[in-house]
Amino acid sequence: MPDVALVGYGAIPLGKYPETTETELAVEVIVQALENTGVTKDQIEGLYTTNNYVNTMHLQMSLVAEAMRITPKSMAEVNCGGMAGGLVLKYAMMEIKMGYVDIAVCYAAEREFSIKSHLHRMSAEVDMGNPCYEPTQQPVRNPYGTQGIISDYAFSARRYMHEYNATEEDFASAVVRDNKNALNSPYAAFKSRITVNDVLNSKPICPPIKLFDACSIRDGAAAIVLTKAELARNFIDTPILFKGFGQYHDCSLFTPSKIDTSLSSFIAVRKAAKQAFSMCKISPTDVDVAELYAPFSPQELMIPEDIGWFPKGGMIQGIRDGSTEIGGTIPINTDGGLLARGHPAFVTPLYETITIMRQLQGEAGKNQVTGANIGLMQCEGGLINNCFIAIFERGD
Amino acid sequence: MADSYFQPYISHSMRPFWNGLRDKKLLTLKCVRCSKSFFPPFFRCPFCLKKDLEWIELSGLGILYSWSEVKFVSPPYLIGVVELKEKIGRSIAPIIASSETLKIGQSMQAEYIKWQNMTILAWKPKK
Repeated sequence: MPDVALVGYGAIPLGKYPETTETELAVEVIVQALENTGVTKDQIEGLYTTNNYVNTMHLQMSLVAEAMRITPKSMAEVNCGGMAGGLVLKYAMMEIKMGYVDIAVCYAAEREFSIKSHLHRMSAEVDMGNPCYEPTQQPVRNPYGTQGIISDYAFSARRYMHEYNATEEDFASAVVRDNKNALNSPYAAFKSRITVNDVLNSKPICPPIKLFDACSIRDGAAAIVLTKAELARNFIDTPILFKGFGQYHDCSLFTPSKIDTSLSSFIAVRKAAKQAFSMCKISPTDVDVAELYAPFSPQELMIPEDIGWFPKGGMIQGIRDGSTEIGGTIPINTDGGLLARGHPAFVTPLYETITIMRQLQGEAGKNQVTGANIGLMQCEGGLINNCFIAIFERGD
Repeated sequence: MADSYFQPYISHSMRPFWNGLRDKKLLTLKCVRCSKSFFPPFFRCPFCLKKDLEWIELSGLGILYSWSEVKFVSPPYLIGVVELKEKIGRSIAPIIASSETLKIGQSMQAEYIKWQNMTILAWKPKK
């Protein structure tokens, strides 16, 4: 089967796009991606996207196809919580490997901030207040609802502090790192230099998680063009090879019914990473740059341990000594991560992938990781009980 | 506190659980086929997938596994994860205590609190 390459991308800065539509944002980033690669619209054989909050009939691609007057022979909307953006790349990869399409465009467009759906989600009104909603883990979670997801991540954080003596300063240091990286990002929504004290003094939400420990919902849209590796050079000098992936679902929704697992570690991340490294025949230390899907700062410490760059508890030292900063042994979130870039959940994995592409192409500017050759993108769905990891390599 | 809760959706199969809370009992299901108890209850055994189940009463005791406070609603409330003494699962529920005194690993006991027209589960430090 042919190798698959990522040859181009388009994206808008994360922010607020109140007076537009998802279709407009989608077409904007798709056209950017086409112009950057020289692919014409009629060459698009596969068009794939993730779910958003507006098109509940899941026919958003029909709107895009009509707006662009294109007739793809393959279309699909892939849903699986926050890792949909990773799985949409996997779907395109498989379509290309099977030989059904030669050129595919993956895109996602979401205006979660502007349509205010995040307010519902955070208050859990949409889910828990809906009499037809099937609650997670009925009946234990009802009727408390845990107010969305933040308290679950707080349970995890407090457990990690208990088991490994991590401090709130350690979590805050991850926020500081991400915000520093965001200063030079073309896409990040939050570009202000903040300090550990700023984080510690921000408003408590679900202790130990405070306002600045949390990602912020923003609107965003991104598109990536994929093709067979043998065609890639027609479109770009430095194609990025989609080397492999790992995926795993742990049978829990974060608070396992199984009591032999800790909330300070994520089985799904460990298993997905192991599979991804095995498929690519590399080890964790071969990775030069990584993008992680950590919606809250404590998980910025836990996920690198589960991937295998640090022993459990070892990331506490890692964040203190700068190992994950640009220039460190494993630079993480060089565009600011979810915490500083902004987080439209169904688009985020595409932004992460674009960051990896820019790094591997040597186009990350002031945030360039010297000699970046292999990059890793991790994303998750649910509450890190679901994980997808993709590995990319510079295709010189 | 209670203003921050949501009306639960109660399926027919889970009525005994809620009736148990009304009677100040913490109930779960045990599989007659494979003899395993599990929590939370579900209408089929998650291990052997059979439906021959019986309701059993739990001790209502456990240890505090982790906790937080939902501070972005008014009024805020404490919430925690309690590992059941029977070692068959964990329960997420409000904690009736003062946050200054809570310690991971401490013994907890079930508390049955009235809310609207029903009884819901909470946990408090064991006396």
